[in-house]
Amino acid sequence: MNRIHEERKLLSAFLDGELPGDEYRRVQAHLESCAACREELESLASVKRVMSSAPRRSAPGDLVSTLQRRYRPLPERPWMERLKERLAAPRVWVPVGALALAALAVALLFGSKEEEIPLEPLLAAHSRYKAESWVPHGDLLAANFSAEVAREYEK
Amino acid sequence: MRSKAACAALLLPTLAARAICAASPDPLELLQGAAAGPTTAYEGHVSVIRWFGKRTRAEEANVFFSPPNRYRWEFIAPDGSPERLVVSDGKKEYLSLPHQGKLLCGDAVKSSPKPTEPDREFELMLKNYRVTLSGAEKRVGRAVWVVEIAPHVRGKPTQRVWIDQQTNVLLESGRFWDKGAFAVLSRYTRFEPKESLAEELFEFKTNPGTEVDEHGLDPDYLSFEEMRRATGKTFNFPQTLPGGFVFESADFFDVQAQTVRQARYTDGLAALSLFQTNRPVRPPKDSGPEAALPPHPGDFGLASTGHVLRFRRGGLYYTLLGDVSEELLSRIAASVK
Repeated sequence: MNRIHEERKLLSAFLDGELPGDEYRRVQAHLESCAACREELESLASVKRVMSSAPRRSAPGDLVSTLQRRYRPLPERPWMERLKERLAAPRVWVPVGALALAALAVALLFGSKEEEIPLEPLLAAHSRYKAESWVPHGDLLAANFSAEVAREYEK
Repeated sequence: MRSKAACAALLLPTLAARAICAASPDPLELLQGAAAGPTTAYEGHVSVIRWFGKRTRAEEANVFFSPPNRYRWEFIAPDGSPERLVVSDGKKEYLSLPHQGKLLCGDAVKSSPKPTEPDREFELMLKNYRVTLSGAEKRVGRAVWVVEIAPHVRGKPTQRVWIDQQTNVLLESGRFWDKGAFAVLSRYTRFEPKESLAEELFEFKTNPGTEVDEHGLDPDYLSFEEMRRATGKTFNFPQTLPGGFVFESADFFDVQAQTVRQARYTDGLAALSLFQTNRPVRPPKDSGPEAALPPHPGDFGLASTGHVLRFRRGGLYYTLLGDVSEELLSRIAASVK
């Protein structure tokens, strides 16, 4: 860490007499041994002298009231009015509309299919019942049941 | 002399026909014998061909049977590899699907009695079908009786069965429509009666840790009232349907967390299922083009088990399945209020 720069940061406060006693003495001791910081201090002092000698102008008397009038907060509008205004903005409706259309397309393509019950278990249940019937080809029907069940797992 | 010869020539065919008739069995008894199941063990090879719409599905299987009710069906893929295996010890049936990595089980077919007695079902069949003996033929080198079962009403397939004279096993069975088009044809291409078969053929051995799933499709035989109590739904299904079908039993099961309610009807030979669901059922994925019919109450499709008709009534969805014509299925659907 560079101590020179630490004291240099305190030069402005040193010049204005705002440093506490031990800090003031530390900067003062440093200035005795550091030519660069003395030069910086002189520069700061000359700027202060120039600023102090510049003529001063007084602010208009109505400045505060004018600023208060100009920048006072707007009255609170009803939330419904604000919501309507936001929803009326095209930047809201364009993406919302696009999303709705995409959702509708997905629902048309896949939605109705997903809701349907697969037919295969019904075919298998029907075949299983048929195999129990009094029929001379019951073994064939029993075999058909296994085929329907197998098809159920083909997905 | 000449007149005597002429008389004899006239009488001989009549006498011969009478002799054949006297030797011919009753077709009803033949059917009853076939339906009761064979009393002999056998093994063989079966080919099954199904026609639905413009599509055909063929399957080949090695079959083993041991009385009273043990069976093994080894379905073979075209490359000769096992496609699925059905094994039953008479109580449990295992269904192995090696390609899908699935092993399922359930009650063996005919392991528990149905509410409708075989005699009652037989009477119903006689009411709806005409059973005749067509003759005697040969199948896979064996003598068979040919029995034809023709429906009294239009819209049902005619069935013809070739019954082995020695064992009562159906060596061939065909179901076909008015114009002669087959719906299903199954036939043994090899058949060998056996004194007995190895026990292990009918035992399904699983490795430790093998996951066996219940397929959950074992039929229960509920009345409408029992199903109403079980599912909390009231059913207005009719007791009888056009085409001679009468209500036999009801059942329900779950598919994708949806309860499917099933009412089963029979005409003594063909079975019909009426399913009720809260959501629509997907149409058959491999159905043929839909037929151009007069206005009907729903959408038709074709599956390997027969025609499928889906319709909606009172906010509920119905699916009718049966091996009957679309016209008859349509009339049946119209009777469901």
